[in-house]
Amino acid sequence: MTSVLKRIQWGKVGLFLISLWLFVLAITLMKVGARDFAPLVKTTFSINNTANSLGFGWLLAYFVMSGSPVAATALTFFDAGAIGQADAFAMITGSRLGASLIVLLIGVVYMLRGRDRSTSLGMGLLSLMVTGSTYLIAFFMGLSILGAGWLDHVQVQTGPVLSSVVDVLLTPIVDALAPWLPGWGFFLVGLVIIIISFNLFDRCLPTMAIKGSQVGRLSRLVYRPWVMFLLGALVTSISMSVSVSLSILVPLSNRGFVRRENVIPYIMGANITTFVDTLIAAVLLQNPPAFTIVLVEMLSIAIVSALVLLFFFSSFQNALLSLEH
Amino acid sequence: MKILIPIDGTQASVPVIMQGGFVARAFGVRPTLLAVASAENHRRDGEMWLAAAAKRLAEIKVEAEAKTRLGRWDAELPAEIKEGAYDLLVLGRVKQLNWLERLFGNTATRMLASMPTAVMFAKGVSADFDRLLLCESLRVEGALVKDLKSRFPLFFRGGRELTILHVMSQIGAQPGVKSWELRASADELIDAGTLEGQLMSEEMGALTERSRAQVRPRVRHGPVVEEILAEAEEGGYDLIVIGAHQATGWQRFLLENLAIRIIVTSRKPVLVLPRIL
Repeated sequence: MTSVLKRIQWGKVGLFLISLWLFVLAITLMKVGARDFAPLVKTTFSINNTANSLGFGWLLAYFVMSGSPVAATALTFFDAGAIGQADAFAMITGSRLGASLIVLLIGVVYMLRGRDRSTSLGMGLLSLMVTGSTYLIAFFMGLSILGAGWLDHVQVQTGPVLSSVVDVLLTPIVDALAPWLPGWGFFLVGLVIIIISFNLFDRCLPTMAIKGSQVGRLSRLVYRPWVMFLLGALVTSISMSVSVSLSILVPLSNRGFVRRENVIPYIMGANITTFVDTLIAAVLLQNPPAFTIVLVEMLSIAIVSALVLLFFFSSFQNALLSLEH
Repeated sequence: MKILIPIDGTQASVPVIMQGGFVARAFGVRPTLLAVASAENHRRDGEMWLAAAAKRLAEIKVEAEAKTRLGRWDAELPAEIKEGAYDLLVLGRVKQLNWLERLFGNTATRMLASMPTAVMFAKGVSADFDRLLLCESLRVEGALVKDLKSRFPLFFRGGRELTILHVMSQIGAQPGVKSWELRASADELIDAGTLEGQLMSEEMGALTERSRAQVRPRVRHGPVVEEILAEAEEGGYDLIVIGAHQATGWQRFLLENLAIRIIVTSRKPVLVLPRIL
């Protein structure tokens, strides 16, 4: 027992708890401030239809360099009544499309710093194309599911326990800030805190210093698409970030290489469970329809990915790799 | 060396008969033609197929033995292979797998995975075997080359040209990853002593040892199956040599069956060597 306790990285555990607390605090602040943002959202930003919501989510993801805070923002706007269900869904989809470009943008920076073009841009391009192609199809499927109301009954009722925890831990903070911040200020502070919480969370992921010929050899193999799909989904259900899940592949392969055939289904799986944090945000908002929106998002992308893997994977892979090449 | 050529009297058997005949002629052996009749009253059909096949082989100056068995193909063929201790089985086309078969396999893929003998798929017919393409995955170092040399030493005689192909389908997992190897030629990898370079260098040594065959290394960059097929077409090879899909343990379920994909889509004959267990 003592040896187990000694091996635990307590620093990272502490960091995880702090990031979790900050995440919950951020959602609470954003929820409080979102109401004051509602007029701004509808009039100044013109987020009053699905297409604008998609575009807003896309652009906002570039601004904050991440999709997850934007997805949380979409839910808080929905909770505040600033946008409707379909618009929130579109904004979340837009956030993923925007986030998928970030890996490519990082590659462009490397390229501008003199690194080889194909190396710098390859993974980013592949990630963007996989995400773009599957999400755009899933978008229309998800809108249909939402419009038909098939999953409206699938909601999570949070109950009094969560309300009590929020009241005890977070309401005093909100009350303390009230004299210092305007309503919309809560939202902006919450947005900054949620970005910080994700950064902290990324740091508390276990660093995988796996070296050794055995793992290196495993990374040279070509796995079945569904195996990599499940692996991508599993890894991202923990990391909650597609770019972090991709970076985890680096130490696993000694030289930082991954086979193209493996990475495409890996990204497809990652694109589903990357919404785990958004799902948690929906629960924390204590807004059951918000949970349905995220669930529909995950389900529609899962259905599209499964159909591609089962029936069209070869053609899909060849098309993407030709474009990437 | 013993070669088995199963036939069923259909047009699809013709390339199988001819390819098997050309291999037998190259090795200077008498192949065995096998017909499987479902029942005694169909035995005569089997004998007719065998007579027609023997006539075709006679046209290319190959004499064959003929055998008829009664029963089902999926039972009689493995039984004949086991009883006859054949070195090579010649088969025809394998149909494209549907999605269910890609997940769970089918009779053909399971038979192929557990086949104790080498199998040649008559995809197109090559009369000569002057240029061979050995597709080495470098997974089990040197296994393909050693196995080919021990089973078919004839391929290493005379002025044959053997190309060891390794396909690097890797991509850098992150923008900052150093990846000159992902664009390098075989010679550059060998000179730099990289993992792939060292393995290819060892294989070339094993191939040229006591052999008059010309051996050259080749590396291509792209998806594995597509690059192998492209190289086979562009290089004008007579035969593609690959290892069978791993049939046991976790690898059978987790690893992609690249062998069957190559067999299904290739337009050149494919020789599949069983995995060394």
